[in-house]
Amino acid sequence: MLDLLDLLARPTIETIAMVAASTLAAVLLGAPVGLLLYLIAPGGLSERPTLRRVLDRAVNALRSFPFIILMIMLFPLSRLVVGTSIGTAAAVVPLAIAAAPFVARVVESALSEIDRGVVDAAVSSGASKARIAFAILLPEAMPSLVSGLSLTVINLIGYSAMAGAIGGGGLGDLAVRFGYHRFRIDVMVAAVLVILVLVEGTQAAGNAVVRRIKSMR
Amino acid sequence: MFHAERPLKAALPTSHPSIDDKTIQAASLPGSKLELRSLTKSFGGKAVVRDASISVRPGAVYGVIGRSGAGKSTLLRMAALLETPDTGIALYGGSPVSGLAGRALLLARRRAGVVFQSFNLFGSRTAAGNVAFPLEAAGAPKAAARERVAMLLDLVGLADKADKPVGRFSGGEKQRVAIARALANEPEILFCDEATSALDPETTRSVLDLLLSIRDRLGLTVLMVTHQMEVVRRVCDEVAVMDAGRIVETGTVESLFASPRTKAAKRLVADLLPLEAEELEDDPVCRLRFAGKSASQPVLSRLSREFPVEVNILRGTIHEAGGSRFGELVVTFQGEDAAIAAAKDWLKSQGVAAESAVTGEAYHA
Repeated sequence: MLDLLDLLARPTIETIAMVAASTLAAVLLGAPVGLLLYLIAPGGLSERPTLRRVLDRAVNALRSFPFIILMIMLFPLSRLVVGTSIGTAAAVVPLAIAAAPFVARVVESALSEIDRGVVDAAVSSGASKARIAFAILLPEAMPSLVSGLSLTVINLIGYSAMAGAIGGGGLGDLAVRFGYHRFRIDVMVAAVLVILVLVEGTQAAGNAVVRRIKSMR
Repeated sequence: MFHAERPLKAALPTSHPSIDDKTIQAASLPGSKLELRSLTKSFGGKAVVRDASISVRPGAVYGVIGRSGAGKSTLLRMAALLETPDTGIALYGGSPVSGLAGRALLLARRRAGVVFQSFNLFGSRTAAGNVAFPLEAAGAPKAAARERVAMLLDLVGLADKADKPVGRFSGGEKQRVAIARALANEPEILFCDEATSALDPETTRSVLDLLLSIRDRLGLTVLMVTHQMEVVRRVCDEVAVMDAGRIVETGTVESLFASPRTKAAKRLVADLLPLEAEELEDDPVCRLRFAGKSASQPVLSRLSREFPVEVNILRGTIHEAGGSRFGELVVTFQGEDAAIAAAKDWLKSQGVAAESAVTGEAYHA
């Protein structure tokens, strides 16, 4: 039992670190794109039909890549950014790039839920678009943004297990190396259970934050 | 009071390159605070507003009334710079404001406040936070903004609820917050888009009273779009009737009630005294409108005495609008056709307008 916990500790921390770093990077990359998609949409605050079509297609294209293929294709980029294509740090690059278009859609759809009339009210105040976006739109959309963020984290936990399978470290790596190659079913089950706990925990925390925001309104 | 916006307002350009010189030189009607000149707007090839022009004098409460789909909200959105007209321009205090862009557009929007039917409050903010937003947007100094927010919430009677999230307010309270927010940047013009349509009758009355008292205290000019004749009757000085995208009739509220000219206007006035379907079957049901001196004369009892005609009163009411009283009766006449025709002619000579309650057409001699 102690031996099992020992085995699990390091990969668990690696998974959490990988997911945290890639979530942060995915939000930094994807959220501005999502905001832009919303603002330049037909009927939006700064309609740009052509740019919007291009961006829309690009986001869809990136989302339709199978993650495992994306990861292999991004080996050179990982090497460029973190100096290596193997290991936990290297896995953050494909994870962030895979999750960024998802974040963009999450942000876009959260913003689209805002009542058009509320946007009108902000516009009629004579506020600039940047101020409307940051002082009204994002706070108004906060509950949906938080729900979407926990979905993103959950997706990344799943992806990170896959990244582990090809040298990314973490719980996925552990499950494959011990459970599959060395027939340690107990390790595999334990790794899956830890992943399950992480997913459940993320969902519960996300729900709690959403409830808290809503209770203050 | 908060005055930081004054220099910004003074900096507002009175002309803009995208509006041709001819339009600018055409003098606006003397003394009008808000003027809409031949505004036209289509959506997807369908004309929603056609060649609509109105002129509102400073301090007036101007009503635009019409059925839903008449184009009145689109007209207001163009006037409030939320929508760009296809053709035509809006002028605030004589200076053109349509077709502006960038900073000039933001500054022009701050000269007007808008109150919406569905309140459109910012759910992520408290009452004070909602009122503060336009001030933040205008870059008002924090201390002055705080003072003005407190003053405005006091004005609308919500000083004690400043820090409550707006989601917990009742409909009437929400609209009061929205009114305070619309007034934050000391606008010259207040636009109300069906501002009371989502409220119950009692709350409607209190919100309308609030709007009138604010108009009086702050010297605002108000443009009010509504489908409720009751609202026009209670607060408006002048009124425009819209039908199928066109302004079909304009005038004082008195004249609209006393002698509506167009079919659309007659229908709206008739809505105040609606008829049941079975009453309309009792042909010929007739609507009599008493205004001015005829309202105070015992016209109907004299009619029964002088003509061999019985008058059966189905319902009646007295409206008060623009400081005058108007009587309205829905009646049927019993008697010979010739006698009824003569009686109707006589009514006309007494200043009583008689028209068919079914078609709205006047009876002619």
